[in-house]
Amino acid sequence: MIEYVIRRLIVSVPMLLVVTLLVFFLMSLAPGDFLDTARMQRDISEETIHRLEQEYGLDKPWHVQYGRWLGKAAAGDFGYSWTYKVSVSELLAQRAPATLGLAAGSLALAWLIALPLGVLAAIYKGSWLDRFVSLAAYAAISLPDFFIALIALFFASVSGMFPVGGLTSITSDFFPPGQKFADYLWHLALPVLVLGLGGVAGTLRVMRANFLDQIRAEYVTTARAKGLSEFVVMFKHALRNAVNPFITSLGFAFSGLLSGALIVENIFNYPGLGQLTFNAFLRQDKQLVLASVVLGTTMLIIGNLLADIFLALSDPRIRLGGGGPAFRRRQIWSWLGVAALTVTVCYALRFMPWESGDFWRQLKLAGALMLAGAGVFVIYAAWPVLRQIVPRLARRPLGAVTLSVLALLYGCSLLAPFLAPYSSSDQDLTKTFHPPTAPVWKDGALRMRTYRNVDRSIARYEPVADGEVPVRFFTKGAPYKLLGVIPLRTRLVGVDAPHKLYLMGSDSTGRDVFSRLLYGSQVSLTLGLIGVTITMSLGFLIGALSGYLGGSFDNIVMRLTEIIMCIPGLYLLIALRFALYKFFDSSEMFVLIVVVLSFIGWTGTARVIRGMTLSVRQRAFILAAETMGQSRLKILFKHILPNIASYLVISATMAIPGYILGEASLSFLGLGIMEPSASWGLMLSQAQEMKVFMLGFAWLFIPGLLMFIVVLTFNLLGDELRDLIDPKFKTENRL
Amino acid sequence: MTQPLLEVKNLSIQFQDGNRAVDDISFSIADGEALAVVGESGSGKSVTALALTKLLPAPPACAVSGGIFWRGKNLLAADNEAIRQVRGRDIAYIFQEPSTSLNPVFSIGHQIAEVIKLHRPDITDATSEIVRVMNLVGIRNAERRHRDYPHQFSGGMQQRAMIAMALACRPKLLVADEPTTALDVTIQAQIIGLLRELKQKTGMSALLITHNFGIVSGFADRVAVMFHGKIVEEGATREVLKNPRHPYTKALIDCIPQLGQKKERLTTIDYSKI
Repeated sequence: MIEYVIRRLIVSVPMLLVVTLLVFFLMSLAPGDFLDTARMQRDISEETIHRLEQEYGLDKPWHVQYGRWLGKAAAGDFGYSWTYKVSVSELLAQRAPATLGLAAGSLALAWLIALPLGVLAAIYKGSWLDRFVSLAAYAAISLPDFFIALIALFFASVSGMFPVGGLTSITSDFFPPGQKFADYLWHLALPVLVLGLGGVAGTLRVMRANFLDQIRAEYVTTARAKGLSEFVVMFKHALRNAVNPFITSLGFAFSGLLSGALIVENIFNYPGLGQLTFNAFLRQDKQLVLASVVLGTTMLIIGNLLADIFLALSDPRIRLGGGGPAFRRRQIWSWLGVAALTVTVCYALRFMPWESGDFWRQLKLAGALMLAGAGVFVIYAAWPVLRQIVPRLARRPLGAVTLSVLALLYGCSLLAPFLAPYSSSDQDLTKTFHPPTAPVWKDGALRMRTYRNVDRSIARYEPVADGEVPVRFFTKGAPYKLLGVIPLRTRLVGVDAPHKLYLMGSDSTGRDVFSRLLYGSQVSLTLGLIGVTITMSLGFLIGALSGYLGGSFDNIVMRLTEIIMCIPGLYLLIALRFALYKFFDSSEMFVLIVVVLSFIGWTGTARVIRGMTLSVRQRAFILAAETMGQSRLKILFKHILPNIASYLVISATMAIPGYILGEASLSFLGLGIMEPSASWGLMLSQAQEMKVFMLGFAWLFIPGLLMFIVVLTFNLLGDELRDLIDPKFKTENRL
Repeated sequence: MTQPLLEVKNLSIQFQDGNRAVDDISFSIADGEALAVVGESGSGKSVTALALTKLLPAPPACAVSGGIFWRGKNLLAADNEAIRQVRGRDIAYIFQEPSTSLNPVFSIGHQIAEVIKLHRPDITDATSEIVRVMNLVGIRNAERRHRDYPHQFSGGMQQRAMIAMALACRPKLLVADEPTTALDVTIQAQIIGLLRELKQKTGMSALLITHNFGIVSGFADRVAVMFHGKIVEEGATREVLKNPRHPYTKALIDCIPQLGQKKERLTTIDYSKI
């Protein structure tokens, strides 16, 4: 056991090194340096700036800077934060425990609720309890974190039951220690609840799936045959085994917690590591960012290690059987290989002619071609599966519903400009925060009420009596290009100027929410599809090759994915976004976000595909194909791919929500889609102002509702697919 | 005639897809008698064995009709509590795949102790009882090994451990569902030898499910041949083996390869002739 722990710790060191290298490189791509803040402050003299520049070697190439940073960091000196005016280590020491408390609390909550519910849902699979619990779990993860957090905050401010953010009450310094602790818990309650909610949902589904696996195990029959009661069989025998794969997923859950904490801390103004990191990114406080990411990664690595230790303690096969993968000397080489690879890639990237427009055109062309190739691949892989599955899916009620909903939404999205009365940037400052205009049937025609702004300060509108205007169909509106090619001007509905048809009200600058919703759907819906195409192709290519070829290629790829996965998701997302920001203009933000999200997404898929490839590879028909002389590439595509295609389809369906919610989170943080483009995430983030809550402009939350519907639909569809494709999960009872 | 220990009357088991796995079979097992039920995969023999103490998963199984009488009491009509009393104490099972039939996260000793504590609350020192029963099945160093986990045992040892677990409460009937199919031939012989020895020592009855006629003669007093859910022949082992009457039984026996036979092709069953 000890040996196992030491082995893992030794491996963590190169991991951390490569991670810091990567993040350092990313930060170096972002414009400016950490002294910008200092430069802006007038009370710091030129000489001091110069001295500091020299001390930190800011004129030197980035790898030299990295070396210096590393040297200092090893000694515990993470530098000085110009934005907070304290040493970084002090800052981290202050903030880290708060985040740890939040994460631990959320984890505990998730376990307490999800474990028993998951077990019950598995035992009573198919019953109303199971369906309700599963639906509730899916619903909980179908809303973006920040939205749930906002609602919670609103609830806190309105009901007064919980503090509205912060860590401590103002007078807490004067409390006795017992009361101080209670005060702390009171402040922790809502953030833990919000953060844990997502955790509950994920945990519940995993627990249910694991438990279902165990219910069918043979030792369960043996236990029953011994005369043990159902309760003992389920809760002692099956549960003990079901917990094991669950513990393995703990490390991953921790990554999600750290990412989620970033948003929750921001909203609740909770002074933890997440809020610190985000502010550091915003203010380009590189020292702080680096140190935060290092700390976050370290926490994740330790979390993973703890999870593995727990697993070894819990599963005697691991504890006594072999202690995990053998520590071959090869592993050290593979780490060196990865480090060398990272450095080379970083160097190569730096040397590229980023400034040249030609280069960018070629790069974009190459990117488009690769995307097209990826699209072809995905269709080739998925078509046989879909052709079989979709008819069967359509026969099931839930399958039919989800497919119809998606068809409707994507259909509307394609025809968005035609269906939308106005373009997405059509402002009208006389009609800000206008409520939805009510339709009436009068004089034998469809008419729309007009309104009068009675109170500008609170945007209160009242209908004008007898002021109805006719609703026109197929009107001439602002010109657009249908499907990007056909130039048209016809819009489905409209009213004569100067009135405005606000089917779902207007936003803070008088733009029609309904129109923006439609235009935004083009962004939010296609983002998922494109992102998933990239992830699946990349994941398959790398994962399948890795599993099939094995050897050093496999080793290096595995280390690479481990590195990427051990940086908390949102942190990496933000780092990438910052690094690549200056290479994309605002209209290309969409592409940037897809690239960034895909970069993180492929790792999980690749690892699972690798595992599946490994097991398929051992099958006899692969050997048969090899002895016939088929090339490896052909075997990969003709034999291995069809066998894992169904998993690809399922996981693609379940991955799309991640993209949609990811974009929403990024836009919420101000790092996603920018004005004047529209996206559901952007629209939702614009609804987060307090006055929206207070004055009841409920229609501004419709993007959230739509997002919820789409994400929930994809999740449910994925579930149905899995039920159809994986015949293992059928109901079980005793005769 | 004394009442048979187990009497199965007109047992039929139907599955959800309409398949009749067991079609109106009847057989009985007397005290101290070993009955072997032989048949190929899909003949319904394992389903019969599991149905005895209502261990069949339903779905996919669906309708069970007929009677299963244990010392005169119909088990099919018994409630949950009553069935649980029979399981492990009166009727014990050993299964085909010991590596997956034993819970990997509990030690062997713990799993044996479970059944002892459940059915024999009078025993205060479970450990010595565990050691006794492990010795009985030939597991050496039982005093140390009872703390070991299943994965630390070899296949044959795992099967012995399962037998020990089954015998811990001195059951009247041992149901062995293909106990040697997953083991190699030499271990097979050992396990059958062990079962025979135990039957002689304790006088318990046994129901042996197998597709291998080869192990039947070393162990069973009587044999029943199942084909497509029906019993096509039944009788004393020696009699059936020497003079099989049903064409299927004849074909099955013919399939057993004989040492010293000069053949180019192994015999298979021609179903059209049955």
